[in-house]
Amino acid sequence: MTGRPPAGVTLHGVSIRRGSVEVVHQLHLQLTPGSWMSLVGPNGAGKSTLIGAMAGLLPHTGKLLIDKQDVATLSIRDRARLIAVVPQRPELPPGCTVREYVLLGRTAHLSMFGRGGRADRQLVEDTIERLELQWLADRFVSDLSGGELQRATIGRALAQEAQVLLLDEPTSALDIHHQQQALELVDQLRHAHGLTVCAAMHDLTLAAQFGDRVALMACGELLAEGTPSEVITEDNVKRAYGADVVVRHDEEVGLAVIPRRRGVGFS
Amino acid sequence: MRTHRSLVSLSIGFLTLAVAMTLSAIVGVSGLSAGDAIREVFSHFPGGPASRLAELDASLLWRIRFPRVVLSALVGSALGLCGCAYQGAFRNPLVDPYLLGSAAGAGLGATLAIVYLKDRSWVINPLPVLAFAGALTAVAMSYLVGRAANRQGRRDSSVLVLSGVAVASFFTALQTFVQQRGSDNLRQVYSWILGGLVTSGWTEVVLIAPYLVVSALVIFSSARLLDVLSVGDDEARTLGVRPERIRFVVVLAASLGTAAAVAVSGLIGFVGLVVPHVVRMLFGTRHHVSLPASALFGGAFLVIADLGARTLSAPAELPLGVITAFIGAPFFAGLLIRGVRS
Repeated sequence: MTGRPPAGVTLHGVSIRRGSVEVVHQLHLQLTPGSWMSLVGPNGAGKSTLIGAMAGLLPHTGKLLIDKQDVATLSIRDRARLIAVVPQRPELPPGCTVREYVLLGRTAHLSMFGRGGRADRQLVEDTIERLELQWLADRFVSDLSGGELQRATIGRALAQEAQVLLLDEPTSALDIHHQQQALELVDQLRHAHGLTVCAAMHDLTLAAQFGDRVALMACGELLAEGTPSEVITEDNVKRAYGADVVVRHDEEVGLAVIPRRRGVGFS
Repeated sequence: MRTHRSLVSLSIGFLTLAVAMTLSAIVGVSGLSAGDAIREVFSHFPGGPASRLAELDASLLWRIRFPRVVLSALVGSALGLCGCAYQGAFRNPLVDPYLLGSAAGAGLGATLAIVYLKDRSWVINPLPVLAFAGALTAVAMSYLVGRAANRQGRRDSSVLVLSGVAVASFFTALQTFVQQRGSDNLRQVYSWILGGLVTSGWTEVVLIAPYLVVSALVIFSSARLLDVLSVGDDEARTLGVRPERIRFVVVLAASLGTAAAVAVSGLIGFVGLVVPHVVRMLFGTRHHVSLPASALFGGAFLVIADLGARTLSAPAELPLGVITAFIGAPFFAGLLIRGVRS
């Protein structure tokens, strides 16, 4: 997609404040180029805040490097050419068709008052075809189902031709079929286009299945980082979430996290 | 599809404006027939028919009626365009071009001119000049207050809207104070506030045209960026634009256009709010269509409204602001009910 080699991401002592509260403290993290990092942790752990800072939406202290470039010093246009974001709940512009929505992804590649030339439109058509959105191309995004909208949003991010794709709980509003479909799509695109993916995820099983590495956060701190089987353990889940789970390793599906019933009479 | 929709909407808009201007130019209360007015216009073309009008009647057409038609088209286009731009910049369909206090500022400027300057002789009429200056001062103050508030930590366009409310209230209070001190001029002040183009001529057209051209050029060039803003400020930033910068440029240009319009026409409500709504209902929300269409239909609407203002209770003139609300409100309500039902 980008024609450029995958970009690595380095977070060195990153802290992020929201108002007077520091919600992420001194985080160190390394994403190798072309890898998928699943960010997991309970509500309020700081996952979305971290995604927001990586996208340049929130100020931070410490070093946040993408492709060895400091995110804080990049212009907003350069940042958008390097990092694309699939938000948790995208805003739906009224009266905007899927084709126009995907074209918005070209914004950082157009001159300030430019309208987008033939090459931009061709790229949009190719993206629409790649994501099998042809039959929806002239539909309004506000009329799409959750799964269709997710694909349209991924299409917009792809049209940005960025090297890093940030996903903020991308499957939280989807049923299990569409969750699987959306994540498989992102994974295919990652391999096809050499993307580095960082996804904040709630479902630990999916996070383990798709992530090359997993970062477990709680209360704004990194509790563990490593391969899925290193990080997603019964002890770590208990420590971060306070949840009682069984972690199974299955040859066919890989790692699966199953909540343990506490039974009637549990107090 | 996209080009087709643009072409259809713009063609309909041009046609509507042309018909409205022609109608308004040939209909009036001066006793001149429509045929005579048309012959007079064509008599100036090579090979055209001879005019049947006396010199005084021809002069009335060229020096009073035609500039008034042109001015009403310009003012209506400016209010429609600036309303659409404001609504896009703030992502709020309830916003009108007077949002940041331009109406209240213009009102104060006009009242000052009426109360303190009308008895002296001036090279140019000080009323539109002071109204224009008042409108721009109010918008600048709203922006400065909004920026100061945003520096305190809130990066939110609603802060700017609220500062507009504060500044507008302050300017309205000042205007009322000045108006009460010069109560001999109450009627004149009220007549200006209710809006109208009674004293319009080519001088007013020339006075506001450059500002309207600059305003329109900047707004039209920003159409795509306004589309980007429609996904919200955070998403717009991740797509590579600075929403606050786009908003500043668009609001500045729209305020310039509004100030110019309000300076010569007084306060004409409704056009800037309703015309963009109607246009979006008919032709969609994308700004490369809705901006020019709002300008064309805004112009056509005000031309027709002004025709009504000068003919409905002739020889007296109705305030233009009354007519715009009188025609526009039921029309808009009908469209709204139809839109909601469908």
